[in-house]
Amino acid sequence: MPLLDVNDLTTYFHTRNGVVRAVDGVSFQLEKGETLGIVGESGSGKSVTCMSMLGLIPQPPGRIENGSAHFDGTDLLNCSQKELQSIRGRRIAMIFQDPMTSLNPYLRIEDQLIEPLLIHGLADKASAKIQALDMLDAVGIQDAASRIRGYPHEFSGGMRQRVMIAMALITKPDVLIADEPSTALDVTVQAQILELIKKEQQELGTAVILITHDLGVVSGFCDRINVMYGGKIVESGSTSDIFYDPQHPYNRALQNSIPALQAKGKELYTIPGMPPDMSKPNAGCSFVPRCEHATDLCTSESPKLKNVGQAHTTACLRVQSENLKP
Amino acid sequence: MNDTSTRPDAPDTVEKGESLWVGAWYRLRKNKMALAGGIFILLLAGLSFIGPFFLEGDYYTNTVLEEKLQSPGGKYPLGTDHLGRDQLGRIIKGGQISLMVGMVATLVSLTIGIGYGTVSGYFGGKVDSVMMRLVDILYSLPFVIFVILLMVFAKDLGDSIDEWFRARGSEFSISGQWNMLLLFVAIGAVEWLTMARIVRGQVLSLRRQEFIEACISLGLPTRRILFRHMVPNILGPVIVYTTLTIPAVMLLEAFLSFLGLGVQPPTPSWGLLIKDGADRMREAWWMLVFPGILFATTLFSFNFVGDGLRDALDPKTSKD
Repeated sequence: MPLLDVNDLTTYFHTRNGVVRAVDGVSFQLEKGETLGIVGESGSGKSVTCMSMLGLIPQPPGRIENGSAHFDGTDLLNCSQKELQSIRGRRIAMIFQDPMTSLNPYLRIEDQLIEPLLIHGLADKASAKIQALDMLDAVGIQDAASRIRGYPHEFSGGMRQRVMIAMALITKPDVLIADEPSTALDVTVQAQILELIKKEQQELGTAVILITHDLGVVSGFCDRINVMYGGKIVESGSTSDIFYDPQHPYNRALQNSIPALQAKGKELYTIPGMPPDMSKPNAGCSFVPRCEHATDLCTSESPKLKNVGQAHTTACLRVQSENLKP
Repeated sequence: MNDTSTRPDAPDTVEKGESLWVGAWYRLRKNKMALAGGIFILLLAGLSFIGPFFLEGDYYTNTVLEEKLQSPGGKYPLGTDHLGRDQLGRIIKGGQISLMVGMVATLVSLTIGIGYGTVSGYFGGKVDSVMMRLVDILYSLPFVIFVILLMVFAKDLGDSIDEWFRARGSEFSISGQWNMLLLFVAIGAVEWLTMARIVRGQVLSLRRQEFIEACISLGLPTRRILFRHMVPNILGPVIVYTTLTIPAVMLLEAFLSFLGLGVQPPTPSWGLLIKDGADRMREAWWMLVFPGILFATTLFSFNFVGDGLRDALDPKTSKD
């Protein structure tokens, strides 16, 4: 039984301009200790998927319309606020994109680090402080013992993200959701942060969900990848499947638009058109307007995920029906 | 406090870290006007609250009719009023009353305003709409009429409460302070509205900050998020507004006392002293000038401190 089993998760936002189908029937599993990447462009529903699981969607306007998310026997979408609170932070932790704003500027690092431990009753104050110090050491803060009494504004962006990671991992959660943890950081720090998450994951046996739009990041990091487009998973498979055997036209277009050193001097491939307007659903595949393989059938029939290999699924009517492979 | 001593690599000196408050204090100290205002307020508070200990008990009611309307100098450094009472003593007592009304009524408005605004802003949606419409309605009531109604209808309530206690054999008496209490309630009930709006606005923008989201994702209970994480973050603007509310409240008290609705004679407040002085402007200028100057200076001081605090606590100026 997978550690986390998300089934047909559907989250809509009911706005003045109509219903925005942010997440539209997403299903995936996460095994213990596994690393799952969720990639997709802005607005494809990556973050909303994970926020929905933790009940972090502002309601209203958001509403989880359908689905379940079973975590170790508890349905996260249909449990009491109290149950959810005892899982959040303790068994499923989250790291956010912008480290500059994700720490409370008025509290010492130490006080913020020990908070999850105290809240969930995992340690008393004295031992929590020792654990906090060890954790800060582990995430590579130099001079942790002297820095721990400092305030967030005395830390650089990369260091703050390290603190955030320490804060998320201090309770030794089963799942760590990293929502674009390296996007706001510069490239060298990005690599350090990802390496740090990897290292901590191996030490603690935590499963990681990495949300990103950076294909380079997921390729070296994840065991499996879900590619999302327009609130749906359009392709799911192992990292090598996604990169070396892409099936869905969107995924293939994505792979083509990665700058490559060999293609120096040539114009970079871009996907034509614009991301879909999620408040205007169409009957068929949401990628149709930008797809070079689309047929009339694609505009009327919504594709379901189907197997195209070992644990490799894609949602495209044209795959297998014709040999689309390049 | 050094909990790190259990570790062998604990450094000899633990950096305490400079909090945002320390930085703000540093910037405030460089603002001469705010500093001068602050010192003046402290001196004034010292004079009005500690000064009376060195004076005789009836220093502000002692009536010597033969020495009425004495000009400043000699026995009476600030002269006497139309009943021969020492003007200096009355100004000291008046300052005590005025400052107290200013502080207590502000505290009342602060407490209600922060609680109300935080809840309204944090929960948002329908809760917010209902709570803020209520504030709008209260805003639209004319203040003076509200206070007059309160003063007239609740005036005898103090005596009734005393009687209630006396009937039960208790010595407890409230009617002596009843008028002051009403004044606190009346001013506090009006001043919290603006505070609630300011706090709500701050919380509303804070609510979308990632560290609050991080708090929720860490499983923190709502109450802890509200009062441990939200309130300290809105304290900056709140402190600033508080220092600006105190003079506004003092002005209100003076205004009410001037109308005869506030503090009741023989207890003086600066508003009452100014009223008495205004009545006898031609024969005894000192009765108007001294309380007037003191009152104006105090209001200026509070406003300077408020301005200084605003600059000091504004994160945008923190990079200097």
